[in-house]
Amino acid sequence: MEILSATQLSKQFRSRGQTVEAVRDVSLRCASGEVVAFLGANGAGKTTTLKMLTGLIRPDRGEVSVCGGDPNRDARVLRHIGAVLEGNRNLYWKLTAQENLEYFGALRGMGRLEASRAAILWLGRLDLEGKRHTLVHKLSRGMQQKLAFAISVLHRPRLLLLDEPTLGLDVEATTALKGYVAEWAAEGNAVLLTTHQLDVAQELSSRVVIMRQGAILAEQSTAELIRQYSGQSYTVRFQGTLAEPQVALLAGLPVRLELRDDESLLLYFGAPDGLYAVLEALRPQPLISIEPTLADLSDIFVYLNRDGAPLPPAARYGPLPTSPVLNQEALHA
Amino acid sequence: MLRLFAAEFRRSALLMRRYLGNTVGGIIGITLVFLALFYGAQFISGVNRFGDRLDTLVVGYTLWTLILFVLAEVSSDAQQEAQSGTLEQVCLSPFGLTRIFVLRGLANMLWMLCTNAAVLGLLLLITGVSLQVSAWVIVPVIGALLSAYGLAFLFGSLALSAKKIQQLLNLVNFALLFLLMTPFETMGPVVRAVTSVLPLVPSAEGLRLTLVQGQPLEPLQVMVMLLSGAVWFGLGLLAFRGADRSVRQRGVLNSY
Repeated sequence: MEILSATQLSKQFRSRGQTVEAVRDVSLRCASGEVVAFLGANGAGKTTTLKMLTGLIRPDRGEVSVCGGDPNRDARVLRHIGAVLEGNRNLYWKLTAQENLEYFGALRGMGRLEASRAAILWLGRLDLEGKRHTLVHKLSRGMQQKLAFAISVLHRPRLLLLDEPTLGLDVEATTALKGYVAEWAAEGNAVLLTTHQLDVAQELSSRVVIMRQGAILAEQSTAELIRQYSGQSYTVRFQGTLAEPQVALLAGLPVRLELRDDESLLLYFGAPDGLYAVLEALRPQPLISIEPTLADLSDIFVYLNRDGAPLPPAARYGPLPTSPVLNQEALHA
Repeated sequence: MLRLFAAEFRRSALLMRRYLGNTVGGIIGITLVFLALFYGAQFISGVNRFGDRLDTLVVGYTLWTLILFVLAEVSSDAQQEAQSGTLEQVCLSPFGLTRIFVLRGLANMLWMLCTNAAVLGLLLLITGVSLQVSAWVIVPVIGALLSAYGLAFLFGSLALSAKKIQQLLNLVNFALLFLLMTPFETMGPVVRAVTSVLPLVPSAEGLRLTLVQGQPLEPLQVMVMLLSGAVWFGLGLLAFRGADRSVRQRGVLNSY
């Protein structure tokens, strides 16, 4: 069942006489039980898109539908949405953990008893029962982040929007939060997650949407994306310093370079026969090894976001895709 | 709605209790400022007794402090919430920002009235002034609170957009002092008619009539006070809703 559907969202901002196109023709969907990782470099337009899904920023164009209603037009639709947008900044620091939960529960339309019971339940689930009556400013960063998560799910929303939920968390807290997110999705809810921690995205998401400069660059199931790139990537180790013409030649090829004094690495993405062009560009550097690579989301993300990678034309992203879409133009540049 | 009001009331009670020292300090501070102004004026003018004017001063000053509380409430709340990062979470409520801030205002008003009653009591005790309290006093108090909340929402709409409006509020405080303390009703029918359009003026006049002179209010006066309050309150809400829409359109809701 589809919980979120956004079609051709666009947003421009005006600042000091200049117009910035923050988001253009972005279409998204998120179904029940699905965790979608929404990736992109800083300033790619992820947070603006996320806020347009909640009515916090009004889109210039496009439609949003959450459980059949548009939160930009009907505030009642917000009952179906929970969000962690600014992590620990989403809390009242002068109130205790329990008071925060009860107050935000009331803001979401819950009765006091209902909010109080849900608060106790979530404080227990998040190992915060001992901190029930502690003022938020006395909690650790990880505890505050957990509390922000509890507030977002307290009213049992169908759509959970998480903007950098693991930011600043230690390993233990990150692992715990990943568990809660997976559990929440498994209960039949939809989760849209933005993060710069790509291992978190890889582990949690069933689908990946990569954004660059306000547009969607790629959208595909996480497993399929990794499989696709894993079958088409090679690591080449070589020695020596590259001359300028060699660097220029490689800049036009789908590669990522890690240059070191002793032994440099080149990660190639593409069909196996394209590898010969890379080897030609490397000539006459001494080659140490050529190995097929199992790509991870970090490699794919860095590759798709590399400088000079072509951006998708806006016209390409019309109606919602019925099957996973990857911008092949960017892939085979 | 009732649940939300109860939650807002609990929240303001918790904060009042948690920062009791701040509340008590506020009451003492306001009283001391009045006494400094009062005895300072006596010393400079060389007049030992203010007569009826002292009653007017006490009433005007008490109302002024009440209005100051109310006036700063919406804008400082919006500003603080934007600064701390909670404004967006509040805006994710299906109740909508305007409704939440109105209910929050109602909840806080109860506490403000208590604080103000304490200030008034202290002033009466210290200055020896006795006021004629009649049931009619409720009308100008309601009118004044409605107007004050209207102005508070007008400034709240500015705070939503510009975030920092403290300097403007400081200036407005003195303009309000002039509006509240000047007995326009003694300046002829034309001045009275013109100034009754201004916020708070009809209610301040009503308070002076009922509390100081002990006069009952005429139906026309009651109507003017309540109508003035309702119009300013309505204008404030309209401006606030407009600002809410505008900041969402410009994407600056949480910018600070």
